[in-house]
This record gives sequence, C-alpha cells and structure tokens, in this order.
Amino acid sequence: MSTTATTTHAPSTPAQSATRQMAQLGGAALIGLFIVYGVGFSHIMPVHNAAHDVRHSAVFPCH
Amino acid sequence: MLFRRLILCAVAIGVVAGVVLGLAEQVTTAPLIEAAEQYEVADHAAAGHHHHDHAWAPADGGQRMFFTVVASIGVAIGFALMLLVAMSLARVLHGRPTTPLRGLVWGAGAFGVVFVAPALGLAPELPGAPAADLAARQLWWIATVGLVGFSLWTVIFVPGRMKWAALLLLPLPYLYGAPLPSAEPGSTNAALVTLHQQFVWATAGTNLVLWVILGVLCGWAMQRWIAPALINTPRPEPARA
Repeated sequence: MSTTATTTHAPSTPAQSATRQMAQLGGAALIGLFIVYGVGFSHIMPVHNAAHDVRHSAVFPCH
Repeated sequence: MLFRRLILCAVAIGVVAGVVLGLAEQVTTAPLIEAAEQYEVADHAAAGHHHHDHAWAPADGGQRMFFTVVASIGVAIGFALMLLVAMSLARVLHGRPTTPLRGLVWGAGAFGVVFVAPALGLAPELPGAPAADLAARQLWWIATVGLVGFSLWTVIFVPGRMKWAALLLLPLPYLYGAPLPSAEPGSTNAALVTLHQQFVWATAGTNLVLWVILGVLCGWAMQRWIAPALINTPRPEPARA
C-alpha cells in the first residue's frame, strides 16, 4: 500500500485506520437507528403520545 | 475525528430540517390528524380505545405543537445521521463522492425508500382508522424499508451484471403482503374518506420536503466536512455536479 491514507492517528496501518473508520460509521448509524426507533416505533406510551403527530406524518405505524 | 463530525453535522442539519418539518406539519398534517380524532373519539368511546387514556400526553395547543417540533427534530437528526453514513459508505466502498446536487438525488431516493415503499403497502394512517396488529405492521415497515433500500443500493452502487438480480427483491414485501385489518372497514364515512385522501397528499408533500432538505444539506456537509475526514477515498475528485 502506498501512503495515500493521511490520518490524524499517526502510528497505525491503513488496515487499522479503515477498521476504525468502519467502526465510527457503524456507531453513528446505530445511534441514528436508535433515535428513529425511539421517535417512530417506541411502545412507551408517554413517548408515543409526545411524538404522536410526527409518527402519523412520517407514516410510521402508530397504534 | 470522523465520528464527531458525523454527529455534529447530523445535529445541525436535523435541527434545521426538523424545525421546518415540525412547523410544516402544523399546517399540513396536524389539522387532518386532529379532525380525524374527533371521529375517533366518537367511534371508539365505547370500544375503550387505548391511548390518551392513562399515560401522559401533551395538552392540545402549544404543548402538543412543541412536542411535535421536538420529535420532528429528533427524527430528522436520526435520518440525517443514517444518510450521512450511507453517503460515506458510497464514497469509501464505491468511490462515489457526494455534492449538494447529488444530495438532491439521495434525498429523492431516500423519500422513495422510507416513504413511498412502505406507504404502498400501509397507506398513511389517520388516528381511528382500522389497522392490523401494531407490532406486525412495524415489522413489515422495517423489513420493507430495509429490503427496498438494500435493493436500490445494490442496483446503483454494486458493479457487475448480477446486481440487477437485486431488483427481484423489490416486489417481495408486497407479494408477502402488508398486515391489513381483518374485518370491518370501519365507518365508511364520506368525510373520513376525503380526510384520508387529503392526508395521503399532505404526508407525501411534507416527507418530500423533509428528504429534499436532508439530501441537499447532507450532500453539502459531506463535501465540506465529512469527506475530508474519510480515508480510503479512491480518488480526490473535485466537485463535479
């Protein structure tokens, strides 16, 4: 591999950096999923009621 | 650091898109929801309808509007986060950079996957309309969005001729069938039918606006903030719309 990867984490191989990058992308995606699930799919009643109009507007199955 | 940039960009974009969405809902969908609730109260009073009964719920008016805007910001942040990750993966795995203009195409695609695909099986619901079991519908919704998203991604990004096989996945959710209410179509009240037709268009419009805003802003954030933090970018392509 050439030294195309310019990361801020100095002593790591490109493979390690790529793995770290995928972990960060995966973590961010999971947080996004968690938030959307919380607003759109939660069965907890006060959460459901607070987000009620958004659930209907976003066409999430609501009740 | 990539992770921090993803979170900060998603929060900033989500606040902008969510405020627009939450306020738009006040004039598009919310009046229709509240109108349908008048029928719901009348129809289901005897049937012991479950919600609004015991658990806390925001009071109608300012409080309800406030929580709608807050929830809109929340869902917009979550969607923005996933859109940014998808754009990043397209760049890292397939060498496709994103610009604000391409973000518009991303937004349109996401609108198709997250709104149109599930709505074809489970039409936008007004409160009080008859519907099948909630968990079954939620599962169908998640499976449909996942399957259609995967299919679209494969057709657009994966090289080779075999990718077209992914198109075969598209009809599966509809062949399996969305969970529909078993019997009684409820009160086939002409006013409710009209209300529902208006609601379908209102939701389509609001969701399209949401995804256009998310697509363009995420495309811009990719170009400006995220892409420079990505490694394994095959070629440093200049902005090419």
